[in-house]
Amino acid sequence: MERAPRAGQPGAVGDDVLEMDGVGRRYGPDRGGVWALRDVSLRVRAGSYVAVMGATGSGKSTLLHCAAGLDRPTLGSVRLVGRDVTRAREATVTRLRRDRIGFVFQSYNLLSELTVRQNVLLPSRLGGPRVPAAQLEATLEAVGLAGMGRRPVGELSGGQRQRVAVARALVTRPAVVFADEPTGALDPTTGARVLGLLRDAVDRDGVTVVMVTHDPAAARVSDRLLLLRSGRLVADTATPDVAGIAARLAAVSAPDEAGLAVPA
Amino acid sequence: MKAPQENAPPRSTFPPGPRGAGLTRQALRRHRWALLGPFATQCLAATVITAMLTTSWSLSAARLTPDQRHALAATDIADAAGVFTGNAVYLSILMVGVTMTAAIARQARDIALLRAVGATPGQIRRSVARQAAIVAVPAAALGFPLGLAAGWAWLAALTDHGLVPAAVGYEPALLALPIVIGIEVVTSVVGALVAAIRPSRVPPATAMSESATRRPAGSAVRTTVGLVLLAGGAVLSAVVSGLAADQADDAALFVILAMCIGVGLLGPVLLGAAARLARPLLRAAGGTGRLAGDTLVSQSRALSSALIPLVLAGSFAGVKVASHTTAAHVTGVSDPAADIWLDYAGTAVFVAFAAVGALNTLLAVSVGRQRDLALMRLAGATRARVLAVLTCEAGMVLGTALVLAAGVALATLVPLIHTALHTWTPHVPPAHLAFAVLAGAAVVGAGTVLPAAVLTRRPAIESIEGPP
Repeated sequence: MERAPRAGQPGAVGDDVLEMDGVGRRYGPDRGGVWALRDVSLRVRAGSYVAVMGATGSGKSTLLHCAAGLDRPTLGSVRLVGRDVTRAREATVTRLRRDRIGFVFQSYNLLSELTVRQNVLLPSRLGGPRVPAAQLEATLEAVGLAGMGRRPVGELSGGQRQRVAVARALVTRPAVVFADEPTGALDPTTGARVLGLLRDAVDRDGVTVVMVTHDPAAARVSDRLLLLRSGRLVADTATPDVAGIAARLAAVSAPDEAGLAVPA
Repeated sequence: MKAPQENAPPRSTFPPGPRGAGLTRQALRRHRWALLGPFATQCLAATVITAMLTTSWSLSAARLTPDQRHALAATDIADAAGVFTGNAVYLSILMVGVTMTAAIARQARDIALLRAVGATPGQIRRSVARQAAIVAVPAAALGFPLGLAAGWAWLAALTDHGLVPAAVGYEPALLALPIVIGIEVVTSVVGALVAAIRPSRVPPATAMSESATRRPAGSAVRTTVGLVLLAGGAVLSAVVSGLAADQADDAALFVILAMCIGVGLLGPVLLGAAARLARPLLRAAGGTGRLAGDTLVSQSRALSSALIPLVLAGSFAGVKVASHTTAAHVTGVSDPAADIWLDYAGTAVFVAFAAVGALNTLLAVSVGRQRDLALMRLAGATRARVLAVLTCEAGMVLGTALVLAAGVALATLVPLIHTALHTWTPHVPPAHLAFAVLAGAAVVGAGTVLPAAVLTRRPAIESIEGPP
């Protein structure tokens, strides 16, 4: 089945696959709650690799969750692959995630008692796009897990597990992959390999990747860098070199005197 | 826009067996201890239903003289068997629901992951129902022989009390096995589906972020519904006081149920209040007491599922016992011994269900806190200190449950005895009260302090380094 995005379909290269308008997310009660995200507006073109950075608590995971339809913003709207995920029914958003979106988290990516194959095929077995056997094998080979499909994931190393997660995210040929600190628990060499897999998916298959990270070396593989501070989007540039990323990250991570207590 | 999934060939979203979402398999392997609660409940229900079905059949199949048959029809035995079976069915639904809630809580991460990669709330609910149904089959199969033994003992006891002629012989009927398995599968699925409604709808992001897993103690909706149920119970209780004694007795159970579920919903608020009330006492116990108060508040939501069965058992037994003892106290005449025995036997079955539910919920909470306990020890607490904190906490849970059970029992009982005996003050012998406190302490202790004592035997660092 042809699943790669084509021209004229949402998710085609050149279209905006993600549109966020005035998005705010508040946790806690109506009064006195904390705004984790404030008035974020951005557009992401199909086929690009976007890194989201910021200090701890700057709202980068919240941004990712709202963008990916894992959480509902308090204010504003999110369009993902042409669908408004802020107002759609939960089942609709779930099917959109299953059929068009891939996920790689920092940990707890896999069901520990299942095999590599069963984990990779989860979205498909939940009713998502069918995955022909050849496509599954090709994906496993691409992430360096050829022939390991029947191994229980409990036996794998951390790096291998993360590659299983990448295989699961890519096997359905999604339009967008959201990655939340995908290398956070890995050593630099293993991490670089996982990042390379995501980069290949962008270059070869036209997948869009939105990745949250705190590691300048990880962010370096992206095309575009978004920086958050206290829940606000404060910079949106082409990705500079590692030293440039580190300098920008340090600048937005400095103690924030003015903004902290101001509501959105 | 063409929706791609509608053009694709039909996909099986609910395939039976191991080709399902994978959550069922994951839960049955990884979290099988958490499913012990539903298993024990189903086993108990199967035992009671088997015993009641086989004794009823034995009674109707017995060759009796017309006089004996007539005398048997005049007793409450047939009614009692029906009431016991009915109670076992709805208690099975309620307690499987309560224990599955604890089992599902252990799977929060797996559920969040599956929801993220595309499992709908309905698929999660079906997986949870499937887990309960799969566990129900061996549980019912184990309960069946236990039920045959219980049925034999039950019939012997009925004969001893002169309620059944000696000519009736016990006939274990194998036909009861498929019926019991069927009933248990259906009740478990109903209980599990209800228990899975809320966890299946939690936004995946909430369950995934480590820090956001604790929800606020009592949401406004939860508190409101709890208050409405308590108020409804009180109103019903007031109405009951105007009814004839027979009808009043039947309605009393609904008063108890409404109030107990109300208490369960208000659990976080009530336990928080208990911790505040106990603060002066806790301060006297020093750091241990303060720590216990803090953890009680932070665990109040999980612990409040244990409040429902504890208060249910306490108040139900209280109403049953106190209505007999008060009648004897006021009129100076005891009810016939056989009647009291039959009533207490039914109460014992009811209390056994609630005790199993409470014990399992408490055990699930305790096992879930393994890491917290290990952290306390790594931060410098000795094992004795950890156990002292837990004992303190268990004392507060027990105290709260006893006060609430007494409250619910009084609200139910006072109108009943006023209608029947024209008195406002129930009478219970102190020995009965002491027994209730000890039984409650045994259940709460076995569910909290005992597992903690076992879990803290191994080095703390091993509990911290769990599998990923």
